[in-house]
Amino acid sequence: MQIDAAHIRDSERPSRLDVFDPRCRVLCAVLLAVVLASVRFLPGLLPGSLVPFLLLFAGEPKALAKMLVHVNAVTVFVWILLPITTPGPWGEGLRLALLVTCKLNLISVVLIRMIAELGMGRIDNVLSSFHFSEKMRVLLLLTMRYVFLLMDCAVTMTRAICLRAPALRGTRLYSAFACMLGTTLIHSAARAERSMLAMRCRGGMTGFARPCLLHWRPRDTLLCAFFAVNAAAVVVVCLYA
Amino acid sequence: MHIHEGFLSPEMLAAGWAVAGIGTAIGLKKTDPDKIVRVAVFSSVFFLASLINVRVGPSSTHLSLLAPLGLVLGWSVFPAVLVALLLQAVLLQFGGFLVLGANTVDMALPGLIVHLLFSKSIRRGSGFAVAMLSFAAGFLAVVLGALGTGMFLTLSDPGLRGAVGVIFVANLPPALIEGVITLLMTEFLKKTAPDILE
Repeated sequence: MQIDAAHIRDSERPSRLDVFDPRCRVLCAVLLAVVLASVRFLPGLLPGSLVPFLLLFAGEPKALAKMLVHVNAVTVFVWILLPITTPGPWGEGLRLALLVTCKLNLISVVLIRMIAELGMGRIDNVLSSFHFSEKMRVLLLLTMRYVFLLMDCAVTMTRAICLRAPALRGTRLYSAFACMLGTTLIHSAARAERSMLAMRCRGGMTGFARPCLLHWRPRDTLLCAFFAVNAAAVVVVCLYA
Repeated sequence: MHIHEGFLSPEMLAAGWAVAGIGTAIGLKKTDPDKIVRVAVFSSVFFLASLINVRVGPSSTHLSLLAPLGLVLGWSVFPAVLVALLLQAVLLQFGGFLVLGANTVDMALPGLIVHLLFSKSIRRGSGFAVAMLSFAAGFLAVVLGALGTGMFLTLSDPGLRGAVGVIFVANLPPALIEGVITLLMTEFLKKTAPDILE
């Protein structure tokens, strides 16, 4: 049993897409991703692959490749399972596996480049400008903060268990980890109460998540139009296929 | 248990977002502003639980802690899971953004059901009965999660029905492990910090 924390990182990365308004990036990405998700035939994905292809070169290709390798772990099971389990004529499972793999990769490229690479700060700005509940945004930012604090705590405790009892197996191992998780929970809950008290002393949550102002420019409208045309092309091809 | 991008039809994506939206709205309304930090802590514990790999034979699985989360948070489990899954999508590329609604329903709804079924009995009971109820809660949460995943996949594409059976069977060993972990965690919490379960 171990904690796999090596690939946790802040996803915010500089890219050529930073010139666009984050709201525009989110809207365009969601529009194209929904259209790609609705495709049921492979020809429909051809026009839909234009934007993901261009997005490959909009930022660090290495980082994106690593993420795609991680995302594609599931496709191994898809290619093993679907050809065996899909009902219908032989080859139907392979067609479905190919369709799912293509959709997974195209949608992932769009969403990673356009949304994930914004980073949590700018995603919070977008949520704020779309009038999401302040409670929700505060919860998001606090969770982000506690993830990194608790990760250190959990990694230390896991290391302690491994050092003290490297040969632990079976129920005793699960018992040790359950106690570790329980202790982490109690420590964290106590810490949370103290944080809340400190926040109240500083004037409560007012202004806790104060977003930056966002500016919509003509180039954002052009990007939206480009994505809309691409999405329309996918729909037209799907209708005629 | 995460559903990835590309598997669900737009209808199922919309249904997932609708149910997750309603659950999250109720959860946020029921969450006391003073308790929001505690919800954030449990949300981050849920996030981190997915990084704890448990060896099962030649393979490995990860914890979900759906039952402990549901037992402690009640309706707040919806916003807690939604936020944790959003962070998983941004930081780890687990799941995705479009499927966030469906994944939230898959994981938060079992937590809520477990809360409604077992929370009172576990809080008031003691001894063997609590141990059995906690185990059942942990086991049931994972099984319900797997059923929810299967339902979304089957309704999206009937061709995925065969794979859903395999996914369900593959989730049974993690469900047993989750049952044991929930049992031990509940006993630990009841002994050391019973106020957390209140």
